[in-house]
Amino acid sequence: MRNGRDMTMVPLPATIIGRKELSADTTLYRLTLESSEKDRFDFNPGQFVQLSVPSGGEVPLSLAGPPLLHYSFELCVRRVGHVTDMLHHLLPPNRVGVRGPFGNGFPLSEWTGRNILLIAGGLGIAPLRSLLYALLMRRGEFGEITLMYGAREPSAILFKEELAELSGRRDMHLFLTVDFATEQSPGGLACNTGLLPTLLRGVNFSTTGTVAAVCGPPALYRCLLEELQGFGITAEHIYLSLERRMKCGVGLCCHCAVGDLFCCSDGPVFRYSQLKGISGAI
Amino acid sequence: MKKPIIAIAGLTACSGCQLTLLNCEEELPEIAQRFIIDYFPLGLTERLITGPIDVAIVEGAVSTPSDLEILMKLRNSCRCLVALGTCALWGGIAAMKNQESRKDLAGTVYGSAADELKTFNPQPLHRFVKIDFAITGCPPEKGELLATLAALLRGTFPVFPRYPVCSECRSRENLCLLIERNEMCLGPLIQAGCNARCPAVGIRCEGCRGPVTEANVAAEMELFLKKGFPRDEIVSRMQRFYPEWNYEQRS
Amino acid sequence: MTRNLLKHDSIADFLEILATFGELHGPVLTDVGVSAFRPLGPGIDLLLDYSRTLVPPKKYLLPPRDTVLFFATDEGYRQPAAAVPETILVGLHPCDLQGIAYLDKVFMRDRIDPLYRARRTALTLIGLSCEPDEYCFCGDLSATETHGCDLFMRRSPCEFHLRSNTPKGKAILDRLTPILAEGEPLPADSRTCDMAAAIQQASVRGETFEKSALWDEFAGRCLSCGACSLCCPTCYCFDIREYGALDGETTMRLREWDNCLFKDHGEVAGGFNFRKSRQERFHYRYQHKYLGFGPTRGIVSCVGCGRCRVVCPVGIDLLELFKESEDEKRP
Repeated sequence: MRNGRDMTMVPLPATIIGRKELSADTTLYRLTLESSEKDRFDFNPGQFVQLSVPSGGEVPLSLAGPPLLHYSFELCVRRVGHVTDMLHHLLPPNRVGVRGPFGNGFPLSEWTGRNILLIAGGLGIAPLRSLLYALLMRRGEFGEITLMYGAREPSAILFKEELAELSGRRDMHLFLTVDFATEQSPGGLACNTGLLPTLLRGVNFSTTGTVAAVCGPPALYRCLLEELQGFGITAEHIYLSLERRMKCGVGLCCHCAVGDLFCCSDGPVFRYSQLKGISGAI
Repeated sequence: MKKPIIAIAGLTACSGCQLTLLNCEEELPEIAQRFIIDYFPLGLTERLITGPIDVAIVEGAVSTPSDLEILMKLRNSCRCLVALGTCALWGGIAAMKNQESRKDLAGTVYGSAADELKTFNPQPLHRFVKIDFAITGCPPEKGELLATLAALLRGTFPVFPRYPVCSECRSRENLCLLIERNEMCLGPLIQAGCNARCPAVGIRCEGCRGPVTEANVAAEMELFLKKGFPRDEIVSRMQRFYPEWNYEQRS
Repeated sequence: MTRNLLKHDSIADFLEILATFGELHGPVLTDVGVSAFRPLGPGIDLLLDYSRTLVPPKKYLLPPRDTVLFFATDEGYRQPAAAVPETILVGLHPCDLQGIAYLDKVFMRDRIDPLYRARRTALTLIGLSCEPDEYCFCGDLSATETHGCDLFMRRSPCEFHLRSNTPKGKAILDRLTPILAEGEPLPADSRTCDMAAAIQQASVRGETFEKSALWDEFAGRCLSCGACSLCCPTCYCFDIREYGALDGETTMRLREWDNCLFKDHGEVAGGFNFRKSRQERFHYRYQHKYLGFGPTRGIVSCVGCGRCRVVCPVGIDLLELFKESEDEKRP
């Protein structure tokens, strides 16, 4: 029971109140729960919901927006399967179903006083955007905040306008990189060319008392984790948000286990130290 | 909701798949009400492909120039192409003897008239055009056809399970013909969805729905050989509905 | 001395009385020759001497295919009304009782699944002692007669010794009194099984048999037919699919038995598969059965019923892993 209603088993109706295309295949949705008592929808950054498109089914999606919009929340959706395809045809004020929020999310309260390094690859920006806004809302509690974000190509960079705004902030650092560049500064953003590990080696950021939160495709984890540890960030302080097939969201359907941990209910955010030694985890 | 415009066509086949649709007697009024049926030679007097079509549903394999012409015409005028039934998806019964000479086969059936026939090895649709979705089965299951139509109304395709016939067969608590009767049951290799129709009445799975994802063909072959079936008998059984098994495939 | 003896020739009366408590189901031999739990009634013989049913009694709690949600445009998603008839399941072997006890943990302890709970609450379990055959490896489970069953029947040559474990069982026993004879309670049954002990030890030390050559061998033979987990009393992985109706308005969401050896089990949208190979899927199955996931971590869910060994068309037997390791230990 969260947010006043039991949303674990039966999807509650939600209305699409905003829709913004971020790239050719990715769209940001803002939704609100429609119920008479005006449900609050609070969550921790890193948590996810199960979104239902009637007759299509359900998909797990990271919550991508600031955690305290109270009556609305944001989801960043890439069109990859049949449900997200159906979703992409929906417009405000179409209705969908929502269960959740599920999973643990990032443990912000344990990070007080630390420097924080966020590393997002591709769509991995979704949960880290949520995390970044949560950190900035409580800016005074943390040390240096750095976001490194890598995308395949300039047109695949999501949230360009927001990134432009963030790049002007003095209380955080932003570094962007693309694998392949066709233009010098996509959308007026200063951007490097190369993979994220290269970016990591090439820029300055605090490495003492630092926690890293990483989200991206499996290939990113494989090449990044050694690098991070090379900078002295221990496996205890590296947090990864994992993707798995999650059908129920509550640790019942058994598709998402990583070792003896359920991605949906023990995760999806894990310390790297929890995953070391689990074959197939990374 | 905008009514989808559909076309239903048959190529080299027995029309059984199209009959599956006509046999949905209870649902036909609803189907007629929710779809615009633009082309359906089996069920309509009007026989012209007139314009842009949302979904073309095609039964049968391609084995003649005129099959190919109809297929191309439909592909060029439709948004989505659905292969209906095993022949359209895998080649099916008509393709059973594809490894033999087409000329000899035609000669055996038609004698000297065979020379006039314009025919080539029956092939599944995907050899010629892109298919967007397939409903397998010989004939397809009513339920899967209706679920597909229902999904089309919403602009999508349904998700059908990708496990073998054995799964449904075990759930139904049938006697395992492979283990208990040592029969040449193809259940482990064949796409489910039929609710183990044949094994439920004591008939081994003949494989009419075609291969399941990741069929372990080599292991099934070893099992049959171990049970004493001659290899050519196994191959001939397996080719009945799908001529292109890779007998070395394990995953 | 209590009235707890049911003579073998009183079985018909016994069943008649049981039927007054609800719909009576038990193991029978179907017309195709399969042992299966089915409704009992006139002319249907209850199997009192059987090795195992093909499909375990989990089907009463988690049907192979189950509608879990309805959707209608005007009312959103809703759960089906759970009108479950009171059902008496008679003749459950201790392994199957153990299986249900495990499922109870999964679906009613850490998470409550309303459909499961409704069905479980309506179920009365009557256990029956058994004799192991060459496929069983249940060890001392069979001695622990209870495992949450309401009433347990222990067989001896001329009669069954009945013992109630719950108020439900007590109520049934009270009603049975007129047809029971007086007898002494039997001393606890004891049975040992080396394999069950070896499994337990391997689980405790977190054994994964990572280096065994058997994984490749299993993966090469496995037909991915699904029988091992469909017929397992504790396999409960489920897939969820949703189908719209032709009316364009309503929708049904299904929950269906899934199998960790199927290719899609670890596959996400876009086609990335977290368990691409059968080897990885076998490891996953092993992990779930013998080491546990999440809240069931550390619990061996294998109850030793032997079904997976009986139903595998290619004779794959996970026990070989344990046997191999036992053999290695010997000089």
